[in-house]
Amino acid sequence: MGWKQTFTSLVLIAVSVIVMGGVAAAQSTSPNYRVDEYFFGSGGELEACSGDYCAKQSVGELAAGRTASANYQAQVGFNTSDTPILEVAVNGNINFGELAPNTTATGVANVQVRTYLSSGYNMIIAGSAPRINSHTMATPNMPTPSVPGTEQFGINLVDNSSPDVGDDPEQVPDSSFSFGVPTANYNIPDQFMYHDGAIVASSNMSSGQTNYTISFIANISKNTPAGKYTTDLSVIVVAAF
Amino acid sequence: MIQLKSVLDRVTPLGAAGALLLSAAIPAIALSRSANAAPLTERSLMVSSTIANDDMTAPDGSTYTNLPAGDPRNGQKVSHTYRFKVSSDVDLEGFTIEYCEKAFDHVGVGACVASGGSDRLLGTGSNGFSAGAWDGQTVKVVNATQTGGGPEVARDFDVEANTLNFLTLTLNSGEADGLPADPGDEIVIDFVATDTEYFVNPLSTYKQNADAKGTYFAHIETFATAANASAAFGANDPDEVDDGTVTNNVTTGIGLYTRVQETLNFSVEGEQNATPNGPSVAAGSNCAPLTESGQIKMGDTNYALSTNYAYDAYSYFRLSTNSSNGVSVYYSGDTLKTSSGLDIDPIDPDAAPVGAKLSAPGNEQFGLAVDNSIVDTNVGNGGALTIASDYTDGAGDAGLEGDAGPITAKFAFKTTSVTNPEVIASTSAPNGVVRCDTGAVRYIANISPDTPAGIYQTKINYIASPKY
Repeated sequence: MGWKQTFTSLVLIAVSVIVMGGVAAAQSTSPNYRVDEYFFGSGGELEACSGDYCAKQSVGELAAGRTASANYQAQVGFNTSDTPILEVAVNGNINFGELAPNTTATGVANVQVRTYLSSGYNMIIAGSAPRINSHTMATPNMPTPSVPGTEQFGINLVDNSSPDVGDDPEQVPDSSFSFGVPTANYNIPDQFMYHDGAIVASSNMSSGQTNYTISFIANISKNTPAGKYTTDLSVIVVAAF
Repeated sequence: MIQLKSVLDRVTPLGAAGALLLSAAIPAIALSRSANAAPLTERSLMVSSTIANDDMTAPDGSTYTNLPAGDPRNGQKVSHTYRFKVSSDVDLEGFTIEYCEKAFDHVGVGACVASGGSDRLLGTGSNGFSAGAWDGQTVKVVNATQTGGGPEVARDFDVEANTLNFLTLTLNSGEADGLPADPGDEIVIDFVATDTEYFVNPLSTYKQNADAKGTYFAHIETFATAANASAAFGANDPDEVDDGTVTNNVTTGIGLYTRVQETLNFSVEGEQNATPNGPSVAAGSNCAPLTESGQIKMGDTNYALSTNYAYDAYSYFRLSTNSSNGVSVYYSGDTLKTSSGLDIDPIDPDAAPVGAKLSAPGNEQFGLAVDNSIVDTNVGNGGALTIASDYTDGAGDAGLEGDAGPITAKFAFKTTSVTNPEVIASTSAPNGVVRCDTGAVRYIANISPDTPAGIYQTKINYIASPKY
């Protein structure tokens, strides 16, 4: 069955105004429509231009910013951007040095994630544990303490004391704007694991900038094969829109 | 004046008076995402790697070569997986996907063409992002919702040749009908990278693009007919059903480098008792080295050999190593000889009948073999080392005084080991590591009635050679 639908360009939604400067929307979506941005106010101009300058204008804008319920969110205001955003910055090259069976090697990498007009995101770390041609370092498949003398490669995304490495996520500018958090297996202090392709952090709504610190640990046993171990991990952020 | 906001900027502004009345009567006005298409919801793009296509340097400074397609380190052969839910009740015969530096201004408006700058999505001279390897290929599109746990609901779609950043998928001519899709159904388009079909990530310099900062956008459209999909490229108003935009980006990878030092622990000792008691020190968790003297004496209480019986003796070796490519244990030495050069015939495994030979009291023989029956040894009995074929049968009756028979123990010895050490046990890749193996070597000496009298001796050297 194939047929073409034609939609009108206006959809009227009944809302209630609670207080001056704040608005609340009951539902801004239907099975066929979703509203990402809407405006309450007297008027405005998206492109008020002279020969050399352009400006966005609004008159009597009642409110601006993000509004959300448990299941819905939207950007409120005349001058909200209509461009979806996903920004990811990664900083981290780690040299563990020469591993020894009686000590844990540690390192950190920093990842910044920001999204806009999304329904949230998942942050995935993909790649093998450090390896040589014939051997890949063992990885715990559940959160596990660091044990010197037992071959382990693991990560988490929180601050740790044993070993002393890492930091908790930082919400920029604060937790009312940014909502990224480590997932359950990677948010336990002093417990580490690694699984190629696992979701290590997420937000279930559009989020400002969250700065993550990924803590890495490496332990070897006496029988860990000799060699130069390397890996490159890809940080993949999948935003849902 | 209120301007009704549309993500695709297609709405005609209203007059101010009308807008004021509108705002008074109805507090909020909301718009759909597109005037002509319903939105694809819960849409996402998953990639196999976010590493730029020109970032092929491994953490140790070497250059990656021959990385598998779809490997997280490989920004030159990348998989893309699209997931989205349709809003319309339309069987689908076509899709387009356009990759852009911006979320909007796509399809015919020209925002996605390559420029001369290295910070653009398509790079300089088309050395940036590319979907070109998919041209002419066939991709399976799945309705995951209708598949559920049952037979797959899917159709094959052909990828039409197009620009490097534009994919047109049209229903394969072998399909009887389009992909069924009800509102809310999840559609999956899985572009699995192979050596011949793949996406190429943007260059690392794309991260310097002031607007994009490494992010790229993919605009997806669905079509009810293949003809509409084919006509979409370049059309200002394509006849799509649903549409939506997703994003992904290029980032630097996280490089990890470390080194594990090579280890080898190897020790030998001789059995000091008339009856073998095993190694003097238990291996324990640390694979403790053997510490006794290597001197052993063969024969009766006067260390004299007999023509009636065989005499044996033992030594032990202990080995641990982290050589992943294997390790070999060699012996090197001569047969029992007097100072004047008289020798006791070695048991030559190369002489007919080829192979190790049974102990034969009354015949001149000197040989050795691994005895896996000795307490606290594991070579030949659960250890990592594999005994070489001519040295596996050192256990059992050898014709010693008091042995009831029959003789089963076999021995061998190569005097060529003086110059070419002979392998007695080994491991190989990929199971080269030896945690802690302890082996017992049994020596046999027999003489004939015409063996000249004298003091016969030799020194056997054991060598462990790991391959890292």
